[in-house]
Parts: sequence; C-alpha cells; structure tokens
Amino acid sequence: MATIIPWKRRARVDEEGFEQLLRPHLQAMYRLAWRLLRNREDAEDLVQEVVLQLYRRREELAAVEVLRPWLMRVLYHRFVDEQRRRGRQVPLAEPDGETDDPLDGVAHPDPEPGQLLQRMQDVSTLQAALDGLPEIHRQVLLLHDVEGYTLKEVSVITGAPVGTLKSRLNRARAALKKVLTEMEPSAGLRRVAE
Amino acid sequence: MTDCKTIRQRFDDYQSHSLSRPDLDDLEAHLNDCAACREALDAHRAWRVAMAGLPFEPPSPGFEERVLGAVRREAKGRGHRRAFFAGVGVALAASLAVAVVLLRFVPSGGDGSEAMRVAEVMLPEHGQLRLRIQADRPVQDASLSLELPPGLELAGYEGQRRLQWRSDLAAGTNYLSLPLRLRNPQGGELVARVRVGDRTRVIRVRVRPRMTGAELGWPAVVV
Ligand SMILES: [Zn+2]
Repeated sequence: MATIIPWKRRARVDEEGFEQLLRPHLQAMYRLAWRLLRNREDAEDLVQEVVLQLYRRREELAAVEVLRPWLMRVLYHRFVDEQRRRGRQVPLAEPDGETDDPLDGVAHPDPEPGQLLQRMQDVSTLQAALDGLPEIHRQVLLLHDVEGYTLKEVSVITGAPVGTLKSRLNRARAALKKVLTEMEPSAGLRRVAE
Repeated sequence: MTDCKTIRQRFDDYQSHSLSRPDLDDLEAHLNDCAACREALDAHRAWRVAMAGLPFEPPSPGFEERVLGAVRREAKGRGHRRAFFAGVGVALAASLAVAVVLLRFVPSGGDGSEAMRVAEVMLPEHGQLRLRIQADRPVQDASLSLELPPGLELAGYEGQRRLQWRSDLAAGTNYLSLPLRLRNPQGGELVARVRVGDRTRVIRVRVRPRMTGAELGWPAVVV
C-alpha cells in the first residue's frame, strides 16, 4: 500500500532561516576557534569569516542532517588554511608516521595517578602542558577530550580516519601525561610556605 | 574473559554510550571481576572531567549579534551576485553527497502519454537525491510516486517499496529531497513518477554506490 507523506518544496534559506540554523552553534564555534587560536580577537574573526562563508552556501547547509560537526569541519579547515597562509606548519600526521594500532599507549600505566590528577586540577598547569604538545596531539585532545566530540565526529572535522585518530588520541594522552608528570607545578599548585 | 587492554580501549565509547550491547555486557562483566580496570575507569573518568573543565576566554559582549549582523549586511549588499553564488552552489552540491536529477514537467495538453527519462547518479551509503521538478506554470494537486528497489531505502520509511506524495507545484523549480540509504553494494534503480490528471512524467534513476565523501556522507571538499 502506498504511503502518503507531505511533500514540501525545499524552503529557500533566507537570512532569517540561516540565522536560526546557525545561532545555536555560534558559541561552540567560538569555543573551538578560541581553543585552536588561544586568542579572543582571532577566534572571533575566524568565526565571522566562517559564518560569511557558510552564508554563501546556505542552501547546502539546510540539507545537512547533523550540523554541528559539519560546521566545525568548515571552521577547522579554515583555521588550517589560515595557519598555512601565515607560514605556520600544521602537520597532518605525526612525523614518525602513525600506525592504526588502537592499543598504542593504552597499556601505558599512569606513572602516579594521584599526582597526575592533582596537576590536572590546576587549569593553568594543564593548559600550559597542552600548549606545549606537538600541534597534532594538541588538536586531537582539544577536539575529543576538551570539546567532547566523538572520534567519528573528529573524523568528520579533520578528515582523518577513525583508526588513525584513535591511535593518535592514545599517543596524545600518553604525551600529555608525561609532560604533566615531569612538569614543575605552577604557582597555583605550590604550597604557601608556613 | 576479555583482556584488560581491550576493555580499557573501550572506555571512551563506554562513556559516550556508544558501545554495542554485547561489548557493553562484556565490559560490565569484566569490571565486576577486575579491580584494576575499575580503578583505570575511575582514572579515565577523572581525566575526562578535568579535560572537559578546561576554561576558555568568553567572546566579547555582543559577539553573536555582530557576527549575524555581518550576514545581514552581506545579504543586502550582495544580492546582485546571486548568479555567481548559484553557480558555486551547484559545484558544492556534488561534494555534499547530493545528486540532483531534473524532471521537466511541462503540462502541455492532455496527451495521456508517459514521457520517460533515465538518469544515473553516484551516492554514498547515506546520500541525498534531489528531484528537481520543473513546471512552466502552477499545477494543482500533482502526485509523485516512488518505487524503490530492494537495498535502497528512504530514510524514515525503511522497508517501504512504494511511497506516494501529493502536492501543488509552483511555476518554475520545485525540489523534493530524498534522503536515501543505500544498503546494497550493487545499487539499484528507483522510479519516480509525477502525475497531473492523465499526464505523467517518469524518471528512472540508477543509483550506484560511491565510496568517496567519507563514510558519513560529509563533504570531501571544504570551501
Ligand atoms: Zn581488567
């Protein structure tokens, strides 16, 4: 038996429709931009450019089922392009090559879990440790662990395969743990002498 | 019992509730029996909480309005560049896993005929087929029917081989977007029919699988 379902003509996406689509995502776009750039003005500029770029392809925007990762993808690639234009190398893979072995780094026990977590609670220490990582590790941690995108979404955003990302994430976590463990605690963590 | 390495490798999926039922049962059974993995899970959770709690500098006041205001200015100032952007839109459509087929429906006299067209499109597993139906004047109460071969499904209407819509057609271009799920590696042929009174236009669309564009059907190219 045939099913009758309503047939809607594809709505034209005007500015108002575009605003409705975009508005719920602007804060998240800014947040990712800021995490990548670590500067408010640059982050706001990046979001502005991306939004104007998206407006020019708004009809396509309306066809995307799950908007959030797709928007982040456009933003991320714009960021990478900008960095290249400024002559900053953004490596797309680790220099020593990446394996797809998802067990990489998993067996690595935390040297001292208690101490590690204590250092992580101090946000300036954690931020400094993250900032010091190779860009490729920093980015996967920002996207997955900090911003909370799933590996599938990170794959959409960066274009890297899930298997590669899984291995990269494990290496990045191991690298961050190592830095945190070896780091001098920041002033925030130091006990005031009595 | 699944080994500890494998179990710990699933912690992220466990936390995002994306483990399959058997893997979830397996993991929970393992946690019941393995104190070391329970501890590792606690450490993992604490890690995720600390990372997710990393602060950021909020945007300056009025940020959203400024961004959207620029869009409004763009909309006003660049209306005359429509044609250019329309062209860009077509190129982008291809990268968005959207295939467009055109069905020119020009009701020009009751000839009772069935004009047939054949098109071939490549779509990823989750792709969109967009039927573009051209009418030279407004048409009331057109009917569109869709016959789907096995292995090709309309999202939201899984398992249904025949679907039917009724709608008016505006003069000019009318779109019907069909989110398709291609379950069959050989693809298949769907038949779309537009009917007004006794006049019918038919298009047979051969849908073949496309491997590019990533498994999720996202654009492979970014502007
Ligand atoms: Zn265990």
